[in-house]
Order: sequence, then structure tokens, then C-alpha cells
Amino acid sequence: MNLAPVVLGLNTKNAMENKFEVKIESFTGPLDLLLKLIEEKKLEIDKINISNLVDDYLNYFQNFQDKIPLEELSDYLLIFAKLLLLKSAVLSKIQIQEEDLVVKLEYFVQVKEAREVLRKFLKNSNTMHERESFLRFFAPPQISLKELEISLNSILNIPIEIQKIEFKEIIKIQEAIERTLKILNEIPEIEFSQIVGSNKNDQNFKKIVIAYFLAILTIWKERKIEVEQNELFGKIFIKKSE
Amino acid sequence: MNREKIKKIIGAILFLAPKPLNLDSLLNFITKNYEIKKEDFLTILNEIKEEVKNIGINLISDGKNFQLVTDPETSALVEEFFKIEVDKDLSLAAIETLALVCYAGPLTRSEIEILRGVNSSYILRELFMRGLIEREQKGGIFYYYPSLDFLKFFGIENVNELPNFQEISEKIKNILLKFKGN
Repeated sequence: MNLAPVVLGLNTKNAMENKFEVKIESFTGPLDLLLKLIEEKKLEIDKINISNLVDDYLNYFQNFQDKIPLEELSDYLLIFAKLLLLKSAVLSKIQIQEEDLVVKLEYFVQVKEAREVLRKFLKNSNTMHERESFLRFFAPPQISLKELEISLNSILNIPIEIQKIEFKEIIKIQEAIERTLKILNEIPEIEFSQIVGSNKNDQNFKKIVIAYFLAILTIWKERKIEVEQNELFGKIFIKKSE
Repeated sequence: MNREKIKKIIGAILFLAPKPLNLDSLLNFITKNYEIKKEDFLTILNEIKEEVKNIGINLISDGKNFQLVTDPETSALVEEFFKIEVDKDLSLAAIETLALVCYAGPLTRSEIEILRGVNSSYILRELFMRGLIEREQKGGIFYYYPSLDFLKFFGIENVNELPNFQEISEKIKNILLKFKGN
């Protein structure tokens, strides 16, 4: 790649101004961010001034890192690492084979073009409406506010019987969590029903299912597993996170 | 002759249907009561499609399901009359992902991530929840494609009605081929 002369130091004034102009919405990923920085400098992709770019990129990144979804962070870091490698190569005048990033950027220009075409098209599009969108509540025309009030009150005044439920401990959630993790250590990919077992005649089966379901949710929240369900009430697949 | 009768029944069912009707299940239902071949059934659907066009109604289909919807030409006044607010606000990331899925779909998540250079599970889940894309599992891998709801929402019957479809579609598929070749 054709590396422009190294310019050390960053035009800090410029960088500060940019910081507040750009919203997270205005780029869609690390490649998009990089392109944006290159475009701001009105440079061709293969004539990037790496040194400046690394600093700009870091500036944006530091500013937005808490707004970037966790899943995407590593992609930003990867690009940053590549930039750093390029910068160090430029500084130490070492020749390195690093065209990957430029190629990716050139391809991404086409993705971005497709996005812009669709964006303009969607903006001016007209929706085809279906019957469903019109399903709504229609009050009978003769109904008065007073009648509505009376009806509402009569509903509100229906006594609600609260049944006392006695809790009996069947299984602790913590226990379910530990058991699930133990199973996943042995079998990294498993279906939910395999974890809870199939003893449907057990009078506590429902409670066990609930306990394990809560356990799975808890483990999922801690990002220790990936959970997938392809349809409503379908099978739940649980996979150990890598 | 039953043909005219069948056509009326299909038309009436389509008219009342609040969501897309599955082609095969309607055909099954009709054949329980009348004798009709699938090709004749499809011809009747095409006739209905042509006939309702004159009154501002489109019969759209994704190949498996079909539904009567309003003609997008009429949408401005239809929306005004029924006071419908259409929220077309989508994030750039959402549009980018939709563009790939529309122009080059069905695509897998990893293909989308190659093209976007960023993890896309989050945005795919969001688009899926909003009903703008659908997915089909083949060999354990999910393939994402635009949903019928997406097409309705943006007033097209088929993705190839999108601007420069052929050209952009080839460009994106070429990028993927090059990456897979490496």
C-alpha cells in the first residue's frame, strides 16, 4: 500500500471539534468509521495518512466506546490494532504486507453505496397497507362518557379473590444454575428439555422447569451461554459461549 | 361450472384475511370442497390479482403466502383517512444490513459480518424482532432474507424492484466470492 509521509502529532483542535459533531448513529461499524475519517481528510483510500488516522480513530473510539454494543467492540479493536501495526511499520520504516485493510475498505465502499441507495429508496417509499393495521377498538356511537364511567367502575369493583399459595421448596435456582453449568461442561451444546429431564409425571415437573428456565436466563445474562429458539414454544438450544 | 364459484370463494377469503395466507393450506381447503388442480388455482389467483388492481388493491406474494394489500400509490390519502402513522425510522446500521439482505440475500450471519466488518448478531436480532427479515435454516445455518412485511412496508412486491438491483446485487455477491476464494 502507498503510505503517505508520517505526520507526527495530531491537530488537536480539529479532533476536538469532530468529537462533538458525530453521533454514533452516523456510522455503522469500524470500517464505516474509518471511511468517514478518510473522507473527512479528502484522501483516496490507498493514500491514507496512517499516523493521523490512528489518532483520529482512537479519539472517536474513546468517545463512543460506551455506546458501541458490546458485541461490536472487538471489531473496532481489531481495526485499531491493524492501524497501530501500520503506523508502527511506517514509523520504523519496515515494509509489511498489509493490504487486507485497504481491500476491505474498498469493498466496504460498495456496501455503503448499496446502503445509500436503499436509504433513499426507503425514504420515498409508500407503504402497502393490510387489513390487520385497521383492527382497533370502535366504541358504539351512542355510548356516553357517563356510561363508560359506570362500566369501568363496575369492573373495578369486582372483588378479586386472592388465593393463598403455600411455597414449598423443590429446587433452589442456585442449585439449578450449578447443575446446568455442570451439564454444559460435559455436553457443550444441549437442548433445554434434556437438562430438565422428561419425568412429566413428577408432580413437581412444572416447578423444576421454571427453576431451570430462570437458571438459564441468569447464566445467559452473565454471557456464559448462548441460547437460541427458532419459533414460539419451539425447542430451546443452549450452547456454551466460546 | 365451479370455476367462477371457486374464484369468488378465494376472493372472499383473501378479502377477509387479516394476515398472509399460506398458498398450500388454502389450496388444500378448496380441494376438500371442489376439484381443482394447482395450476388452475394459481391461474385464478393471477386473474384476481389483475382484477383487483383496478380498485387500488394489490395481491402480493412471496411464493408461499399471499395477501391483499393497498396499492402504494394510494398510501398518502389512505393514511390520512385512517390516521395511520407510518414510522420508517431505521438506524443506518439497520439499513445497511437490510440492503445486504435485500440485494444479495439470502445471506448467513457470517457473510453479513464479512461485508459489514462488524459483528451483526445484535442488528439481525433487532431486524428479526421487528419482522423486517426472516430466516430459514439449511444444514444448521440460518439464511436471512427480507420478509413479506418488509416488502409491504416499503411498497414493493419483489426485491428486484429496488433501484439498480441487478448491478448492486452482482457487486455484493462478487465481494463475497472473493472473500471465500481467499
